[in-house]
Amino acid sequence: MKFLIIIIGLLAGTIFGILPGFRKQWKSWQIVVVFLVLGLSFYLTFIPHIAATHQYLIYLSDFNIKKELKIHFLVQEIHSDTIIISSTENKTKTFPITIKNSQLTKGDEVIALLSYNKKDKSFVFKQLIDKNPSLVLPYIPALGENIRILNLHVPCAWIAVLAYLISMIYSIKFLKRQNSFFDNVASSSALIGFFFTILATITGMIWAKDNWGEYWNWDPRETSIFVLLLIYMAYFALRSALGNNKLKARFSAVYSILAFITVPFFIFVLPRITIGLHPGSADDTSLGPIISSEATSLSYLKQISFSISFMGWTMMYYLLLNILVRFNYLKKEIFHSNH
Amino acid sequence: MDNFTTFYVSITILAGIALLLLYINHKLSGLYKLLKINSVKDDEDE
Repeated sequence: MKFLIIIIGLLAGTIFGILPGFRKQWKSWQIVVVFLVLGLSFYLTFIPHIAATHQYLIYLSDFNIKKELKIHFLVQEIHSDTIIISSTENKTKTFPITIKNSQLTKGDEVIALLSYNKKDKSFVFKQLIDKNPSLVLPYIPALGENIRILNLHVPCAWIAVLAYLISMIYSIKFLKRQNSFFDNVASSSALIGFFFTILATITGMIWAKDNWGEYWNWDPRETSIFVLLLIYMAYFALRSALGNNKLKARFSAVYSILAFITVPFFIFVLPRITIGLHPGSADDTSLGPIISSEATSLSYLKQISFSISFMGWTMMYYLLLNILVRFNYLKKEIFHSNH
Repeated sequence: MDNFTTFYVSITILAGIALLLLYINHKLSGLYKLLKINSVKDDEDE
């Protein structure tokens, strides 16, 4: 089900992006739709609360970890200085919380900052965050609030792969038919792919700083993306070094095909067969929240927000490709008319 | 920076990019009309 939701987003974005084609101008409403979808994905990325269950605090106390966490619970009963709570899923098992001047009423779904006192076996109420929230994402241990960046980081990386793939397909088409339009699409797509690779690297670095302690750790995933950036930098260096348009197109088409052969290896294979910090590395027991086949690795809300994010970024890729292809064609036409 | 601030900052940047791309798209179509080009064409004889 999870993969289906994600694939629907990818397909919807691709169909929306491909229908106007690379040759004709996008209508203004189509551009507005792209940004509305991206805006919605940003809303679903940043606005929902991320809250753990109170059982997680009890679990942490077994390891003598005392932590204040945002907890999502249901108010079952209210007494003068105590409220009885349960989790929102399992309403039969209840726990007391000592609380003063409560604004809570029976039946409220609450997100509050709580800690757990192992000695007294009681929860300590610190701060009320929200009452009856409309959107709540589950807390994923070790990721916490950082999980939000998943909606930016992963689509950027996958769209970089898509862009390099399209660059390779149009390079093959160019070598078959020697049509400069195909060279235009191939080089434009490689440029956008390069841009998305940089975005994926930056968002990954921000994530790494919080989770691994440093912006750059030379983890196999980081090293492989760095090598990939160098490979495509060489592609642009090659194009700028060759003055003859026909030669430039032919050489860069061959290079683009060869460069793409390395992409699946650097993105999907190398980081999974080597030991590293990134989810899915050889010593990691899980495959990471996206690839993992466990349904519980991402909640439904997270799956939907991830899918919408995927759709938005895919549409954005096709929009940028359309603008860049038309811009490059215009540049060439103006150059030809001047010579 | 809390989540709401991050959201408002990112949505403002997004709106700025949207306006920029709408402007570029509009300018490009103006230039295409000026040069009497309907769409990007094949160029197999090059």
